[in-house]
Amino acid sequence: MKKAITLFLVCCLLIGTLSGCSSSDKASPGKVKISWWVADTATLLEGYQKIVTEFNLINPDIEVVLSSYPSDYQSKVKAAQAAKKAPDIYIEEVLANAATSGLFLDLTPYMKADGFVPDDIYYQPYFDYFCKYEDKYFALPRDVFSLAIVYNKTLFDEAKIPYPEEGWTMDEFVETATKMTDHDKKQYGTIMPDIWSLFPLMWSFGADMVNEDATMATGTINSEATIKFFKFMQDMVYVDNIAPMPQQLEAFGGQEEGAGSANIFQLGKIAMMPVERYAVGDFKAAGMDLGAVSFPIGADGEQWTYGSSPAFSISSSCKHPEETWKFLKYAFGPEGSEILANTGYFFPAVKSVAEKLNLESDPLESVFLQQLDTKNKTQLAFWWRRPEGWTGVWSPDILTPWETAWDKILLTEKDVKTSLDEAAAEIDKNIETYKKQKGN
Amino acid sequence: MKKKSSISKKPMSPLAKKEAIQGYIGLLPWLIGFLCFTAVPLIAAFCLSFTYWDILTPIRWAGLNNFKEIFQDGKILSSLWNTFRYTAIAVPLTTALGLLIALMMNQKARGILIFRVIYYLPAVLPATAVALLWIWILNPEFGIINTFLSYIGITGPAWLNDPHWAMSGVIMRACWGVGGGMILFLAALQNVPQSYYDAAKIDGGSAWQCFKKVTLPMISPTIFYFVITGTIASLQEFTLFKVMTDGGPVESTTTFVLYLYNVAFGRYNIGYASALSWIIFFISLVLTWIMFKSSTWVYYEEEGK
Amino acid sequence: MKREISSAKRKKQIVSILLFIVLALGSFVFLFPFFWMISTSLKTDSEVWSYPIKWIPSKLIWKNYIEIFNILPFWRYFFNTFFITFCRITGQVISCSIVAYTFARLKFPGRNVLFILMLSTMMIPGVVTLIPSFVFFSKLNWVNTWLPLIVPMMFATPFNTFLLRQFYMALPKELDEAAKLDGCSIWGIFIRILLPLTKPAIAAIVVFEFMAGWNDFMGPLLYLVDDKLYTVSLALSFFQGKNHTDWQLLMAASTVASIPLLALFAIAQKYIIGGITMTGIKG
Repeated sequence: MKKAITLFLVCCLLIGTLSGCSSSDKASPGKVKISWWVADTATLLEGYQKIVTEFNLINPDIEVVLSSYPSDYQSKVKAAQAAKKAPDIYIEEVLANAATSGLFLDLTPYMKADGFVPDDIYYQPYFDYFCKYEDKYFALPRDVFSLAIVYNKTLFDEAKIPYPEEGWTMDEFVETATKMTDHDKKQYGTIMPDIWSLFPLMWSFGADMVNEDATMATGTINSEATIKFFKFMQDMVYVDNIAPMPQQLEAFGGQEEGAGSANIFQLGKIAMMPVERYAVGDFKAAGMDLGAVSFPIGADGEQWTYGSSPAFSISSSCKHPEETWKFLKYAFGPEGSEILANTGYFFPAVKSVAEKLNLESDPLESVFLQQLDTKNKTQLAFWWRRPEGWTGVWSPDILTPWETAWDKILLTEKDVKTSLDEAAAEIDKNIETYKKQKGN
Repeated sequence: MKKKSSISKKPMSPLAKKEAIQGYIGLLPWLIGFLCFTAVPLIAAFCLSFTYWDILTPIRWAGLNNFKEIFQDGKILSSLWNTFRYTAIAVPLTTALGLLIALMMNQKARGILIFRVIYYLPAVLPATAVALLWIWILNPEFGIINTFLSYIGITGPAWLNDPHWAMSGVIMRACWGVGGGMILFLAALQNVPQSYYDAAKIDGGSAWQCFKKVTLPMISPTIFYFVITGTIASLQEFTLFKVMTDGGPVESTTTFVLYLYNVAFGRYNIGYASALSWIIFFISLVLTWIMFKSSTWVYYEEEGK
Repeated sequence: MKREISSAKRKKQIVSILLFIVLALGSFVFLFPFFWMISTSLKTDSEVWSYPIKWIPSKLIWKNYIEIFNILPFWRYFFNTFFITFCRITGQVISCSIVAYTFARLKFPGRNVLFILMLSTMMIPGVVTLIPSFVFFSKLNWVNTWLPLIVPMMFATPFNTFLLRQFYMALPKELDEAAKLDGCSIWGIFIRILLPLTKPAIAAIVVFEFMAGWNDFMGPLLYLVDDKLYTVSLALSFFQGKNHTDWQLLMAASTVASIPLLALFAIAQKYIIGGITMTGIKG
């Protein structure tokens, strides 16, 4: 018996040593291996996987390997970058980094060789804003997303209240939310969204976080307008009681971005909610009857929203740039974009796909499509982009103190002005540190 | 630990020399690993504290600027305070609980095995899953804790959403994992020779005296181990805070290591993070040294009865 | 005389019963979260967030447990993790015992300094050595293998060595002296006399190392790329998304992942508790 166990263990050891202790960077013979790293899971990952499977089928001499690291993705990527072992395809959030660090491939020559003209294919100005830096291209977009307010049609029907309409004002927003709040049913008119979905509301108050070129926060984040905005939000929760307290938000798993508010909305407890396009996928899958409408018109008479477009780049240490570009083109050109759009989570960055899927006639999608038209005041996510000439700091330098102020004001009902003053001081300090770091 | 006189004027006897050589050979299983795998990253981390590096751009020399920055960083004190709050409560609490439970488990009764497994169970579950589990448990609306509190008429606090209660919530979760300590103390208790207890009883000792005069001294080396390693581990605790609260709310549970992590992987300031790490290193070192110095209560058999 | 014995026995019985009651109450506290975990693992996606809270799922979805094996090749990950952990445990038990004995029993210049040095390596946050370590291992071409997870663990580490050292120091010097009189060498004393007496501590270390290896996340995350090399902890992280956590699957997977640890503990605790009486000292 003992002999058998020992033999078994020895076999295990051999198998283990052979399989796990030798490096296997080479792909199956003859195939070019390309690595693609993402941090998404579930349906989003399925979409990616579908693209990979299709591509590998069509191109038998290339093998794309998709890996997902939902936890601690940043640690993995940064360590890989430090050791010059970055994956072939991944997202670099800040375009300026992609362009200036030398760690990413300039795609322009590949595009030229293929006759690939992005202007014809993608929604502008999104493509240029997130993928083009000083006349050179560094990424291809996965999707474009914008923000809008979704509302639960079922609840409105029950309460016999008319749906919100385009061009509505902030007062009308508050009015509707008040009418839709029913404390007996534990139903609220609206809810504090995740930080990102707040921005259009903030801007429509004339409020902001930092000044034009992001050199200073004091004077902007603690300006009259911003104080007014935060007071407005605070009142919605604590005075008018038309939005649930943040504790209740956390009650539904609100530790990840917006997960809590999304869950409560899905349970049918909230009438209206500002969301990113992605959230709609989950709601639709849950069978909700939804309507969407643009953000209410702000004090300056403008209707604000916010748009962004995550884009994938190719690492400059990629061993097979030709094949990798071939895949990138497939994955985020018309073919791949269509596959992703069909998952229901992504709004395609490719114009032809949006037309093909007839998104314009879809009542929900058309609203998001409308947001993309930058004739409205669509603020593009400038920190992901870091426009030239902007002394731009890392977004965490600005966002983290802002989030802390938000928490103080919303979670602990702290005085708005004090919290914002503290945030201003901290952001300015971060900017100083950043400048010193870059200046030397 | 006995303080060995480091200055010995007289040359070592051949016997002592032989023992010393054997000693160094015996250390090889540690030294080789240390020199090959630990020393290199440590030295690298030390050097990095004098640089600016965000991984995207090449490393640049920063001289002492990172250290100057430390003096202007207000977050350091607040995060150190959070760390201290956690360590000062969690370590004594888990030590006492672990010992208490081990004492209760230290019997040959039938069915005690089941209890041992039950109490050890929490320590076995994957850390992240447990952290998420406890977010549920501490849920203000319908978590188990507040639900039970409501049965006896108390409205529980908002736990992980209340800056005053978040740390308590985390400490509760830490105490739940006390099974690890239980094993340790069980092992130590088992190592106390029955003959000592017999001798004590013959001398007419009560149960409490047995505990004080026999049990405690005999397991004091293990208690000492647990307190020291527990302190060092608590000062370094990361996963717990990252997953359960991510430092919130309003940074009330941002411990030093979490802050360090955010500096390194949130702000990509590797150099500054490395400089910061020296703070917690020195604090750990000083604390450990103090604990060793004051460890006269630890009883080692080899030093005689 | 008879009455004395029976009253002492009675006292013991009462104490036993009281202890049992206390333990039982305590188990309630310790078990409840686990009960919650299993309950969640048997729910459907929508039931997980139901309000008011559902203690017991309306329908037990045992299928969740099957589904996790469909989504990920858990058996392979179990084997992988078991292999890595086994190597770790073996390496640690051997090397830490040797070093602990050395620190506890042998005298040599710089012993205290080296001991403190060893302890101090525990005091640097892993966060800052993460990247230098990775760069180091990648230069050795060990990335995407199990080598960075196994080889360093073949050498003594502070926590385990410290523990064993404490145990060695608690063993009476008379044992060494007796053995020396019998003509035992330094290492002879170690292997033949003292080492066997540290069985409870070694058993404890086996359990701790198994836990550490089983739950180690950062190491596998950084160094493994090919999914055929993944460990259980990596697989678990897969169930947590940024926007979407499959709670019921995560709980099911976590439950399954903890079974080997529990089984090991049930076996090992016999050795920890087994009790090695101190032969040679018994009065």
